[in-house]
Amino acid sequence: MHSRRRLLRSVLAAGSAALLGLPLAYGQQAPLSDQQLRAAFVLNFIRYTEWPERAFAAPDTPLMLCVLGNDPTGVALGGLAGKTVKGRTIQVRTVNTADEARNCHALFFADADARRHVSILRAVQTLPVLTISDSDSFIDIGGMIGLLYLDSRLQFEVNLAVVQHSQLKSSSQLLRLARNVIESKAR
Amino acid sequence: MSAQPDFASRPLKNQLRAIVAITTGFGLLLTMLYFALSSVVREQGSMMRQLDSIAEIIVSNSAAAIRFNDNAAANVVLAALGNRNEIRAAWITLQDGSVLATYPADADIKSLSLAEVPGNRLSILTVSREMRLNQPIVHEGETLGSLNMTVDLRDMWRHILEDALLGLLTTAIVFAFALRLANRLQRRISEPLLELANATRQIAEDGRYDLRVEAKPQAAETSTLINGFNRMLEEIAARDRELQLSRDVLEQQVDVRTGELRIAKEQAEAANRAKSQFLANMSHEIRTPMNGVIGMTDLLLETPLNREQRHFADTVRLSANSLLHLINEILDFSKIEAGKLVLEESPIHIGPLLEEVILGQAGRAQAKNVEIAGHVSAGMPEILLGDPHRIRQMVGNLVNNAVKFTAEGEVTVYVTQRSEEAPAELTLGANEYAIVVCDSGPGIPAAAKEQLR
Repeated sequence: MHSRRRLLRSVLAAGSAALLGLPLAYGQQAPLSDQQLRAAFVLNFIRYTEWPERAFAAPDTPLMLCVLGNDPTGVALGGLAGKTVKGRTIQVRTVNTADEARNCHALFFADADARRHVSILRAVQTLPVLTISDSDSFIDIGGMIGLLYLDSRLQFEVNLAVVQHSQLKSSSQLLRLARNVIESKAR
Repeated sequence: MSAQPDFASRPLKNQLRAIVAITTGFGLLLTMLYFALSSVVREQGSMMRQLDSIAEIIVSNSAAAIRFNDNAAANVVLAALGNRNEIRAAWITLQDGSVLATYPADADIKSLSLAEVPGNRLSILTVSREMRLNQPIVHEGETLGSLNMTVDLRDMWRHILEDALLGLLTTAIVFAFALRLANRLQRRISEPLLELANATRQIAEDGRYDLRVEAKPQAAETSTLINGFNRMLEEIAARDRELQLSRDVLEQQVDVRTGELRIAKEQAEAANRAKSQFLANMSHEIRTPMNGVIGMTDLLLETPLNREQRHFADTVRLSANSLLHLINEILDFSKIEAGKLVLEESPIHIGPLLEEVILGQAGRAQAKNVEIAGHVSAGMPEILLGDPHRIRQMVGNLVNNAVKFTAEGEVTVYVTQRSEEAPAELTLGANEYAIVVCDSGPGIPAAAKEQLR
């Protein structure tokens, strides 16, 4: 049993080692377009996030993925509509105002208007809305997950403090793969 | 070893040893086999549990890496297997067949995945150096790919072998102890029996029924056997004494009786001898005056006598001759009895002899109207060697007797050398002849016939 515990520890260590980031390789997989890859990442973020029960009216209430702005990634996200995550169907909708954003479960900021981002983030910061964007320094202005290219490979960083504040839960698996995690200030 | 004696006829000691060796050996062998097999099961089970838990951890840790297609992270997850010596290689395959991550980093996945080794489960019959574990990677009901591991089983087998060797060693030691113990304990059973067997042999060889086998504390059956044996010996000895005693008495009695009989026999023989002697003497003594009487009567008959005188003298002569004849026969009888009868050896003219005898009896036969005839078979020699006087005497007596007892009919005398002409009970050899007297009378009574033999 001792060896098993040792193994567990080393696997955990391996998980954190993944944070260092290594050259991206797709293996023999058919290359995805950059937009498709971003969409796949978004879907994975949704997969590895837990919403509080009150966020959904019923167990089969669809999961609302909202797209703010209108850019190629937003178009690619439309492909996620109809996919199922934890028994919920994903619906994709385009939003423009903070009021609209309140009813979303996940919100992708597709444009690059940082000021608008800040105001909307503030509007939803206490709500269980997973905020994602590929704009620069997204997590520094109060976003939860930011996509970025590092070492010519798509990676992501997480502001865990914001995630926890909004009563969402990010899976440790996800956090392990993140390039960078901003921990809660309280800790 | 082909002339090996039957197990059942081997010495008791060896049989007991063999029985203990066989039963103990068999039991130990089964026990050892059981432990060896359970060691295999245990080691395999432990191996499978470890592999399962490792696979579980790898699977749960690699799902996210697959989702994000993060092969670096997946490689790091697999690299954790580095401290498990028995895992030679591991790789994660995606649903489309592509390989996301390998361990070690330079593993030749193609040849590893082609190698034919037992998969996923170990059974007691799986004897292989390595196995492959294949675990699907499922996340939220979606199969993302699979984890493959090539596991080196040599360490496991070494452990099993070590266990088995230890078991064998233990078994061998226990077996040796059991044999030594059995060897010591079997004496308690076999020694009294050996003693008994020795005593039996000694008694059989020397006939010493005074020997006794000492009864020591031992198994009830053995005590019974030894006591029974001793009792039997005592009984045999007692019988022997009795037998000896009665034999002595009997011998004494026989001696006494034999003595008495011998004396009686000697007395009887002496008496007989005396009687024969007396008869011989008497007949000799009587013959002398008889010769005088006959001689004088002959002389008297030659003198002139009147008819009456001559008749008297003739009667005297006849009676004297008869008496002399009787006396001669008595003399012969006593000679036979005294063993002094000597047969002369002179030529016998058998034809004239027979004629003479028949003519001697012819008068009397004719008077009784009995026919009398003699016959000598063809091929008989004319002259034989023997005692003509005795032959004449014998044949004369027989014919005399035959004529006397035959009321009517005939008396036939014949001489033959052929078996087919002789009576059925006679078989004639070469130079053997039969003189047969037949008559038509009543024959010899059966009781009298017995005496003739």
